[in-house]
Amino acid sequence: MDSYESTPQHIASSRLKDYFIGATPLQKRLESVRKQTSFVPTPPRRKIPQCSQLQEDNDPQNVAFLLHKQWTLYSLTPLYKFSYTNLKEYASLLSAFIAAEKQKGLAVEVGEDFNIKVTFSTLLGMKGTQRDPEAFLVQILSKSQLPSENREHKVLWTGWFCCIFGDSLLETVSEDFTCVPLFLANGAETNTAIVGTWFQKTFDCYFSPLAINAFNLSWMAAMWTACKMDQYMAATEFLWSVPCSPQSLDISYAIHPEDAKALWDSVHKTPGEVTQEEVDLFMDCLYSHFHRHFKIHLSATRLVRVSTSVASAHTDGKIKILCHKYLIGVLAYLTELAIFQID
Amino acid sequence: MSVLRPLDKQPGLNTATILLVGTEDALLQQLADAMLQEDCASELKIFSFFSHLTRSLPLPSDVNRPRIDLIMFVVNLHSKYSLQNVEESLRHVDATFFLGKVGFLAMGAGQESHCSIHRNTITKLANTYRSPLFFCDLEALTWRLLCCACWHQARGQSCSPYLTRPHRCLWAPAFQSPDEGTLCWRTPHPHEGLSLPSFPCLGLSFSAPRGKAFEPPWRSAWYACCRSALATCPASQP
Repeated sequence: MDSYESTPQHIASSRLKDYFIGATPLQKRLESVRKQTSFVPTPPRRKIPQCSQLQEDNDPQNVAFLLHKQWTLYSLTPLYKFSYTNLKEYASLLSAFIAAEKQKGLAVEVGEDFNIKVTFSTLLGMKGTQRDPEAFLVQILSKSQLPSENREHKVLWTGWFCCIFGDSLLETVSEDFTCVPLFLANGAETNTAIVGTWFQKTFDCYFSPLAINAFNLSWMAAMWTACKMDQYMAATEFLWSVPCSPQSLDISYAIHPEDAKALWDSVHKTPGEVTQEEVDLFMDCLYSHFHRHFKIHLSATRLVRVSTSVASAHTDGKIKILCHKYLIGVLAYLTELAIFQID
Repeated sequence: MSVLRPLDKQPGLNTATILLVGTEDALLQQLADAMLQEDCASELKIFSFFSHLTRSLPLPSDVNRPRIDLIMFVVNLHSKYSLQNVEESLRHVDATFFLGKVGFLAMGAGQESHCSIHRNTITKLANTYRSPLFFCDLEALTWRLLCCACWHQARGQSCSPYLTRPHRCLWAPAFQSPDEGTLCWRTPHPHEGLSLPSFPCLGLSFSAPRGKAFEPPWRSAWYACCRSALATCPASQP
């Protein structure tokens, strides 16, 4: 009522109030960001990765090529006006863009045949819940110049986008956006940069490298050690970097995987969940054991690499997934880190 | 075992003694040197233990030392060992010290990728002991700010509301807008677009003297800035 007689200032402030009452996605976004930056403790517990139902329904052969490869991690803001029906068009546009970049300054037409080929395809089964957007894969292939029938396409570069259990981000984003916050790339850095530039220009998004700090690496070590494995393919290995001059030293600590699992079982209390206390206790046991033998305080150094039979991760944002069964579980944690970095 | 008590000795005339406890020797030395360089009217004695034997409390009882006015526990967020060391040392401090004579200093929050301690862990610790927490990085700007804050606290001056009241301030990384001479800060946030403070933050602003707009007016404006902190501090406003 007051607004009819009020001064322009009052009108502005009442408009401002109305603006905040409606729960538009933008407002939800601001609220979630405010909540994150306020004093909220980290989730003290996370679920131990399990084999998801969606993944079980799909043929493991489809995603076998994702395993045993080193992926560089990036976090990606939501893509604007991305459509899964236009994948072929995107492939040809990206192909032209790459050709143009490689031959800077020369005119390029879309559809011309060059010796590289780009494919966009969806990855079925790479999601946590039905609500997650479909994961999709981008590959740069080289075409053989021979005119023979069966030309072999050699994969030069692979990159894939996924979102596993990304509910916290999906709730706050409007219809025009596609949320695939986790991007994994394998191949030459130059190709990653070119593909990244094209995506940033076309879909108004932003890539940033996803580093994994020591705190999260120790969570990964605990969670992956907690996973039940039929057979262990590799030892559980940790790598610490000791800050000293002139060159930093590295300390590598390898444990038999069954011993690590036995240690975890003695520390673990709640079935199905991992808590902060259990992670701290697990790592403290390793530190004190090392100190007893070598009189070195590993807690004063920086954990840079964790390697288990499930997966291995490096602090620079490199990951290698070794076990198909826990692929979704590993990606779920990485998605959480990517979403946290975007926020 | 000797426990540190705040009032077991006579205070010195125009002096304040600050005890720095932490495992990072080089860091403590730098902080102590920076504090001693401050252009202070009265004497400021720094009595910091960083020798190999006493990186932590308890202090040896046979040494003749003045009364400790302020204890700053320095934690390096990149090293869990420094946090464990501080937690051990806290047991040797008398409870009455925590009525405004203890502070926590967390270093290295700016380099998120190197952190092995979560920010909330150290925040919870400071909360438990009802003491102020400073996040700081090794930059000249934040050093100066911190030195001044410590100095004021040690002198027990009431113009430092951010230390006498148990609320926390976030400092790093600090930047200065060169034309206005205003000192700002925000949370150590990876994205520049979002600068929402998570704790009641201190707003310090000072106007650079005319004709010296581009010279960092640290020395001359420092007093002005701290004395006017009460007036301009949004945290102290209702």
